[in-house]
Amino acid sequence: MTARTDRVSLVAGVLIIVIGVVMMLDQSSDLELSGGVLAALFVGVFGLILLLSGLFEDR
Amino acid sequence: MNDQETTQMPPEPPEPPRGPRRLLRSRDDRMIAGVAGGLADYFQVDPVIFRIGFAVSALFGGLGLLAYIALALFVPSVGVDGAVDPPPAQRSRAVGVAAAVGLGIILLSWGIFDFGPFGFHDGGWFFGPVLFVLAAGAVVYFLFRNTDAPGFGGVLIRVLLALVAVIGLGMLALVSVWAGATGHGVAIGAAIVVIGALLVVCAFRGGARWLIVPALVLALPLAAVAASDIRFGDGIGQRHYRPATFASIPADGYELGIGELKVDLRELPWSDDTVLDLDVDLGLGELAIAVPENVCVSADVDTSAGSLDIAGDRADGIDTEIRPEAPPTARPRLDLSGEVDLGELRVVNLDDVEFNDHGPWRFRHGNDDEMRAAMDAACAPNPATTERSASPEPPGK
Repeated sequence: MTARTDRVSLVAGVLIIVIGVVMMLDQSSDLELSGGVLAALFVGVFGLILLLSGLFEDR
Repeated sequence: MNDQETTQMPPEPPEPPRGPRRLLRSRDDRMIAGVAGGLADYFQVDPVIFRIGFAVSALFGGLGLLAYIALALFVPSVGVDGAVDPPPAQRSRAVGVAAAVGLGIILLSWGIFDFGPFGFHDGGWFFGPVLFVLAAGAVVYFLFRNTDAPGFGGVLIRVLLALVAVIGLGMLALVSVWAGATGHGVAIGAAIVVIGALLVVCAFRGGARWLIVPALVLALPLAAVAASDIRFGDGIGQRHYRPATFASIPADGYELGIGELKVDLRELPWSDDTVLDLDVDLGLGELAIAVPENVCVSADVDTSAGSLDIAGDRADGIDTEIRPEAPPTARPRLDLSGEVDLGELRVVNLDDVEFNDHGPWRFRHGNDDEMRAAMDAACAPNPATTERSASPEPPGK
């Protein structure tokens, strides 16, 4: 990992890819997720990105 | 003396080597980004010709606007001292990414929304111009976001940029809601994946954290629509029904995606042995059903978030349901099953409620006791009757 690597963007990108895949599966009915599960997923991802932003403030 | 002065004159500078003429955006002759001025300089014509050409072509399909944006992003410009400044897309990685995203949105709006899965019948036509404005707004934002104009001008530019960002994000959210509710959420999911991949790629080039915002703005409304199961495909607007015969009631009941659904059952030929099964389904909005005062209502209705009111018997909140049961021998009887994803469902059993096709259908308030009393009387057991359907082929489900 080089000095120019932004760890927040990296992790956030991976998390957003996961969200996108989950939403694709949900919308194509391959996965049936309730509102509670989706809400928990989003709050968790959002919180993780915020946490990472705070931890890696050295950008 | 004159000879001396002549000999002391500096020599003529050597003529620069002639190369191919280069298209550069003009620095001095510019209205927006100097594209028309640069083209005019290149072709040695009046820049007004190009400006009119861009303006007119923008009105016919928007191709001129797209071309202008592309030229503004990818053509270098004349610098302060006559040097060549690199184009914005090359100067800033963020602008380059924004340009790619913007062009992707435009392609989506023209290539997919209008002719592909987002057909006109789903309102896909609406997103062509909307997404075009969104892309143009994104480009404006990235072109001017680093403007350091002092004083009032600087504040104005910042306010303008904030406004552009808010409008753009709002449109993005709207697109996400619409796509999710018309059954095309997979495309939005794919767009989220693409943005995530862009984030990962940009992470190794210094990062582009701003991409997190549009990704979440796309994902959150889509998740909300998915959770509430709203479907625009069932229709949008006002639907008022007043069936006069049981046979005219649709076999699968009444349904609406978003809006106002009102069903007046008071003109049906209710008899002492009528039992009507009726399904109703509303995604978002208000659903109201009126029955005569002598009809007993047995209901099995629920809502993801909202309120339910069956002739004065009320419940509201999240994941709420209400199931007032009627004696099986009660006649005439409405067996109602239904769902309102987000909104309000009301059943009114008053004969003097006015039905208005052109305005809100307002029920008298403060008459819950009256409705409950009428319902109690209508649902009083009648052992003399046996359960029969209102018609040989029962309406409803």
